[in-house]
Amino acid sequence: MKRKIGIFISILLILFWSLAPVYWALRTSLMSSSSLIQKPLKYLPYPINIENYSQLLGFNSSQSIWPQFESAMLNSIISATGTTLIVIVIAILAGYAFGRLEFVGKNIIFVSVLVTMALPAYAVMIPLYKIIISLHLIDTQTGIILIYTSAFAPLAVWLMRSFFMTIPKDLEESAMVDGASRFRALCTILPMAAPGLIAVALLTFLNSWSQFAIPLVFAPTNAKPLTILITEFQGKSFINYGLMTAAGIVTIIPPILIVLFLNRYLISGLTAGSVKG
Amino acid sequence: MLLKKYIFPYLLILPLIIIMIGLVFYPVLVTFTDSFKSMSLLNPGDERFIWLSNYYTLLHDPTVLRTLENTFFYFLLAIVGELIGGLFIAMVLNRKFRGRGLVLAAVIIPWSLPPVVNGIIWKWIYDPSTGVLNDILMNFHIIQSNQIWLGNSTLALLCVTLVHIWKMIPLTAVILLATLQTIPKDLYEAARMDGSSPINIFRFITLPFLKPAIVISLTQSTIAAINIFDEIYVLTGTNLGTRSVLLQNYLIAFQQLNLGQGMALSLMITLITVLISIVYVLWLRIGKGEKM
Repeated sequence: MKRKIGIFISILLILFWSLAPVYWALRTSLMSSSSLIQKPLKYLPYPINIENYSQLLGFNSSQSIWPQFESAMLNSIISATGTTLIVIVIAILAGYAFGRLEFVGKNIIFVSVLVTMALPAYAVMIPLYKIIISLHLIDTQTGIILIYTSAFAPLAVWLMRSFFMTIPKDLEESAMVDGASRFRALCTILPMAAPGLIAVALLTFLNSWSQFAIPLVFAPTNAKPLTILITEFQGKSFINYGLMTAAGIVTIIPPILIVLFLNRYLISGLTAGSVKG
Repeated sequence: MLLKKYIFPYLLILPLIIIMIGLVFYPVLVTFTDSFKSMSLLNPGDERFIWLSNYYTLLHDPTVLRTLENTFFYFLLAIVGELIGGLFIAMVLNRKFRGRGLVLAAVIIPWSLPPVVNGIIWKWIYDPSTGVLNDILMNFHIIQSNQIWLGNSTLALLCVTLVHIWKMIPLTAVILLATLQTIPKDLYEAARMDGSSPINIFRFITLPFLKPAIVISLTQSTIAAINIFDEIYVLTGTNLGTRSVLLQNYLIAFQQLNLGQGMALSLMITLITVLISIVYVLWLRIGKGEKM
């Protein structure tokens, strides 16, 4: 009995630690700036005030910042989705090659791709900056998607390789006996790798969605994502916390939906390397 | 047909290789050679080999040393905090209880959020006049007056690390939990029958099983802590008291436009990360040797 109470309290503590800060931001975003500074502090956003959201999403025309917000939101969606699609294609092809085929130089190529995951972004950023400028891709979605792809492809390839390695070999072999080409064989086992594919897609999407340091340099104005726009709310003469947290809440809707509904895929992606060793 | 068979694998990895060579390998090579050059966008005419001068200047620059010191502080506190917190969560979630799936989802949420948003969330919690942290601590009479959490630099370092730990604990917890679930239950039963204490069970059964997972999560925590940037940018800006070495790297390269020094510093950061990771792998190897 004492043990059970101990576990119950631990679970409550864990939930409080994980969720209370997010709740506090939600509560802040639903209050007017005058009631935010009232003492004693209100722990519930009562009365609920959607002023911040209407300003953000343009429900009231006078102080609307919807045009900026809309463009940043579209930028975030395009860059994260575009990166995810390209990374998935690259990861399926290369993951299959590294996981199922034999070829000269396989290990050395695989390891040198993996090692780049330990590189800080700034180890490549300066030459990359010159390359992207010479390609006229600075402050464009294409430039950002290319850079994200190079940053997130190694993890995706590594994960796809380990997912492909868990699929029994005889399946594709029997397909090939029937006269299917190697490429057709890859397509036959692809549905079995679907859970891995979803995991890779979600991780890549979340990583791209969260980026800040890369767009700070490569997409400062036109291609600016939400993460950059939000920090600009505090650059002005005063910090508009209500607006900032409201923008923050909108920004975290996609990650939270992914975690709530697809968390088992995420977890299989996060732990793929650690269990098998 | 035979030729096709040999070329096929290379065709599959071709997109990956093109992207990696163009946007990672080639730039890293350039970073390496250019780190020995004087190169500044402020006087573009002056570009020549100065060998180790960039490195020498950096290592004698008190600002750079301070940011290295700050980063070391983040790193130490983060790996300890994430390991202890992650292990605690993993051990609680390794039990069966109703609603376990939902608790697990709640645990992952901080990890899934953009660090910039985490910074905003916590900045408001830390706010000296209307923040909830002061309010709670005052109500419980733990502090007598409102604290300026992000003002004093030691306190600010701690507060920034806490935000980083909040984001990273879920990763450690999930990795450790996955391994905990592979430990055979009968091992525990046998140990309990022999009358082993919970501490000994943890030391002689749980810990050896967990070791590879601990190495993996330590490596991930280390890379994340050494690369800490976004949270600091939002919480305390470029204040030297909390500035990390990567933030310094950004300032040198993209504000002072001293590209040569920027590249030298980024290579130094890479080297530090690699060295620490090697230590972890060695620890794992030595551990394996002992068992045999």
